[in-house]
Amino acid sequence: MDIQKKLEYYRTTTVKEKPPETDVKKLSAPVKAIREHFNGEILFPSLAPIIKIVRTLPVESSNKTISLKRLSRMKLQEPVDPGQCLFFDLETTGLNGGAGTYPFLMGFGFFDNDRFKIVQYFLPDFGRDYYVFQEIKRLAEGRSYLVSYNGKSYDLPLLKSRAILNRTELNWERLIHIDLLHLCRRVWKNSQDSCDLGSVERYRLGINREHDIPGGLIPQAYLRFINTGVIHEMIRTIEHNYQDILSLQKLLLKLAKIEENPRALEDHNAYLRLGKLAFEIQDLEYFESIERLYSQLNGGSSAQLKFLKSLLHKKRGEWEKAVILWEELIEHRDFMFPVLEELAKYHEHLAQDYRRALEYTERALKHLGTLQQLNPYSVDETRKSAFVHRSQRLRSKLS
Amino acid sequence: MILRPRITLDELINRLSSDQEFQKNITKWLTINERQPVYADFPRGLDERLIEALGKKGINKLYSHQAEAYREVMAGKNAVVVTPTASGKTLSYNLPVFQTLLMNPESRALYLFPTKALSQDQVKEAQDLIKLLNADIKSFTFDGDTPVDIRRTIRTAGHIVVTNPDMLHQGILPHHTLWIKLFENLRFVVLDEIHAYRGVFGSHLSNLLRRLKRICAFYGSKPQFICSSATIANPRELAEELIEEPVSLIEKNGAPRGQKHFLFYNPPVVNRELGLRRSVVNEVRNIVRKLLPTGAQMIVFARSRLRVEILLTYLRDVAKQLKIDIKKIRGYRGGYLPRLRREIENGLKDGSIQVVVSTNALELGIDIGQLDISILAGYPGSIASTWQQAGRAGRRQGTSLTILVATSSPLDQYIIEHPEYFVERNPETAQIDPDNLFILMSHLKCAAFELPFEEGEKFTADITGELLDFLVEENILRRTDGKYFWMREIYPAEEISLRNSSSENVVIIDTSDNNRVLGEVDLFSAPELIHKDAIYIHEGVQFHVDELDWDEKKAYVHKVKVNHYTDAVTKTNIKVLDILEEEREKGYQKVYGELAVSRVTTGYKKIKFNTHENIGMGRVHLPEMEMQTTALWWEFTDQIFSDPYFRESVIGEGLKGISYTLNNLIPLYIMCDVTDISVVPMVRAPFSHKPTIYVYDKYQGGMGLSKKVFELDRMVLKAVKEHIEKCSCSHGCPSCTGPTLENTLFGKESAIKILQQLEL
Repeated sequence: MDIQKKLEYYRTTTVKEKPPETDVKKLSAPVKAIREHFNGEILFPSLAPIIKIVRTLPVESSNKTISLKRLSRMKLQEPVDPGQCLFFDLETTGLNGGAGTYPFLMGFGFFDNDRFKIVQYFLPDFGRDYYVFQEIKRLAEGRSYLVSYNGKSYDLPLLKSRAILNRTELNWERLIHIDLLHLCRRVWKNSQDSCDLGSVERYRLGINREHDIPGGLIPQAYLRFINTGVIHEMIRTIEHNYQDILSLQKLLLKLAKIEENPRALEDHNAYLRLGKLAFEIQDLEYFESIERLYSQLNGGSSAQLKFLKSLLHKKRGEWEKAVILWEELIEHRDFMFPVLEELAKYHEHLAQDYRRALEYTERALKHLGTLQQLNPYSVDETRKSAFVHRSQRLRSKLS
Repeated sequence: MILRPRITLDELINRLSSDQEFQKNITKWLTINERQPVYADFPRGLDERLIEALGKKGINKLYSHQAEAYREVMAGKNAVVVTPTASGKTLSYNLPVFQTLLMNPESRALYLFPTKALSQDQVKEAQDLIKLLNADIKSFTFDGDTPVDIRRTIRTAGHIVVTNPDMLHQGILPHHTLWIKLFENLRFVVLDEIHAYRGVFGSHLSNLLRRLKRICAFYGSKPQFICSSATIANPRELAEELIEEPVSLIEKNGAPRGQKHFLFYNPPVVNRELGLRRSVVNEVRNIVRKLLPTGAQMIVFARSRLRVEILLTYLRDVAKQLKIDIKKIRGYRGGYLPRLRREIENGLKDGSIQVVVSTNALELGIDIGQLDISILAGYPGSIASTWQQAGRAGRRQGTSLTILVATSSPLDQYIIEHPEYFVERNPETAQIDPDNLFILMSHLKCAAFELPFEEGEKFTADITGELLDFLVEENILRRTDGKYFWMREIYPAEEISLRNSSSENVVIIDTSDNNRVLGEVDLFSAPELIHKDAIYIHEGVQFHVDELDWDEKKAYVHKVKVNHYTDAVTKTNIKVLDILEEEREKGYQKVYGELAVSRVTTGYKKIKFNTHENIGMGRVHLPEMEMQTTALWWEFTDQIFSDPYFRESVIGEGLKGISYTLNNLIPLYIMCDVTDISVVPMVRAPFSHKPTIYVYDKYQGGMGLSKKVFELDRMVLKAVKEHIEKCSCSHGCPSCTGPTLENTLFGKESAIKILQQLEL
């Protein structure tokens, strides 16, 4: 059989749904329509048309530097000048990445005196990213920061991959990348189901998008546009990307405010997250200010914060303060065992009061025994054997 | 604790040769003489550091094949090294690779192993050498178990990246921009155990290598290929088909070999009428009972996981009776956890384990040291595998003993009659068909995802452009500005498995065991095997099919124990689509061409075990399955049926008998499973109206299997004839022309009469 017949058979056995009709082959009319809709500009008109869309809007002044020292886990030691930031977000043909994923819309934003400028490059066909690289390299010139949402794991690697495929280089390693997703998680992970940009916008910035196209539908929408030339989904996608960039800018300033004064949060779950952050960066002063805010809002401290604080004291060698907190937590079901362990360790190794140490150990074992009777599977065996071991050792030290 | 045999292996062999009861069942005692090593000096120019490191391992000269491989590879050629087990194969490829890495530390090498387990041992071997070299060479395994945090290091710093084809396909090539360091500097690709790359897997691999080469070309590298293969009939042909470049063959092995005793053991016939022999499991138990008290260390290979467990139970009973610690007898198979496996491997090395019962999982290069005796409970299915399993016995240069115990299956019985295959050249050829449209298309899609195709670019000869244009029509690719771009939101490699030809399979789910996935059946065979109410037999256990959900491609089964099996009633229609080659021979016309095979399952019969009584039937309503594939067929001329003996029913029985034997013996010539091909006899073929036997590849688009049978057909038919003639049964049996029912008494006789007239 010749190959055409074989292909015909291959089609019958493999194709499940009928591909959409492709009646619009030439993209020039849709390209024009999009350009007109956004009052954009066509770059490389004869070579490989790309639509460049520029919009600006007034914003609060960007002259003031901001700090994100703590929220960045001390990565950003120096104050950040928002004027030095390049915000960016890509829309692509796939959500899983890989060399065949094509960024068809690249959005960038930056402060321009008291205005915020958003520049978007829409690629109306495949194989045009090469030309955009020349443009976007220029955007990064003279700037020191990249700001994105999940860009560390998705957008930037994808862009780098495209650069390699186009045999060019970005050299964006010199820029400090601020991925706001990580910062948002440090604040709101316990406050909302998801930390995707849409949720953060809705709950924290009070932005409700209307007629927005969900991110998950964007890849298919672009492929439909390529096949049919129908532009309305692309218009929604370009607006979606525009809104993303705008939200990035607002979010950056919002996070800076939280860094400056967490009081504005008024959210006890967020305070707990910040308490954890303060513990991680070992900042006792910051921790205590968070603890105060929490108490004011909740009318009392939380066991979790107390426990973290005790460990912070322990790390700083402030044993008396730690011991007081542990004694307070001894009856708390979530922290009973870790606290008994800490107390036993303290009395065995530091105070060298073996009898007290043994008391705490025995107390833990007694509780574990009770729990085991109630539900044999509820007891962590490694924890139990650690206590048993400690008890044996203490007894031999005592005898 | 090293086990100290109470008698030497030579004494044991003497004792066995005078054991009357044992000797009765030995059809052939093959003694293969020892061979002296052939050495070669270290090649001139070999890095001093390498010579020193090898010296520390006690290697002061090379075997001739290692030196030859080094010469060929350093001269810029691709090479395939054919080696038996334990002959220093690893050094054949490590030597040129390490030499190059020492000369140019920027170079990179990619090692591909057919399975994950194998790669771990090889990495260890390479790392040992690196340690001795004291050079800054890094080698890493990259597979599904590699922790995410060290993946980045591997991508940029790994000089030798060890992985498997599946990982290259799904994890590396689609993300090639992350591996820029590797691809820019790739000098060598090592393909180990290439005989495993046959049929579907091999056809996939060939396309995978096309993709790999394409990516390398993008980054400006052109790697050389170094392959190793077990002894098969066509190692060079296979290597050249896989990599599509000329390959130098290195088959003169310089490694020494001790004396080998290879015993062919045929269990006694218990029912001559039915051709039934005593079961392999029982016989192996009896043999082990004889050998166990001698203290000899042995490995027993079983054909399935279930067999491993049954034999293990039996052998532990034997140990108990003999007052031997049952912990010295262990099982080993896929499904055991890695830690347990390591424990068993070490137990074998230090001698604390005396007997291991294993599936072919221990056949390939996993390091367990060398044992005294290997017992094969049933022919492993290929001569290459048989040698690898036999190779597990025999300490370096010492005597070794292998006992092959045959089952009643025709192939086992044929092998038992023909020990010469183990002395002369191995007749098995490994076949692939890289241009199988279904497999080719899968990889064309992946390749387009990885890098847009340029107009005029070649992926496969001649038809690349047509295939790409087809994908454009299907809206899978977009053609613009002289290039073809991937335009789907999915990631094509994710849905393509290298171990199947079509992505469509029916999954079998065992509802009596927490909805565990029991296995898969290809879509084409599903209506016959797992229709509603079928008894599906999996590793010897019966399952009742409660439901076949055709839309979801799932079959729900539960475990049962009944005294019958089901036999589907199917109607096969064969339509000849094209004739590609034909030749006239004495008594028949042989044709190679393309067929459309359609099969519809209309019902099933319930057949009682042993008596083969029909005890009921049922109807099945399932869609007709169609497959287009390649085939060979024999159209027998009318003259050979001129004898009035040949009534139509007698011709039918004869053809059926020949087909049964053919189906079972073909795997001896082309390395495949009996289920990879289908043999269909027709008394009156719709195309030619002549008595015809078709052999077709059971894969959409064909797999090159029947093509090879076309080339070898007289050899195959002759073997069929001799085998049927030699069988001791009266009217045909499961070991020759198939089980006899009351109405098929002429099968054997008629088959012989037909074959005799072909002057084979």
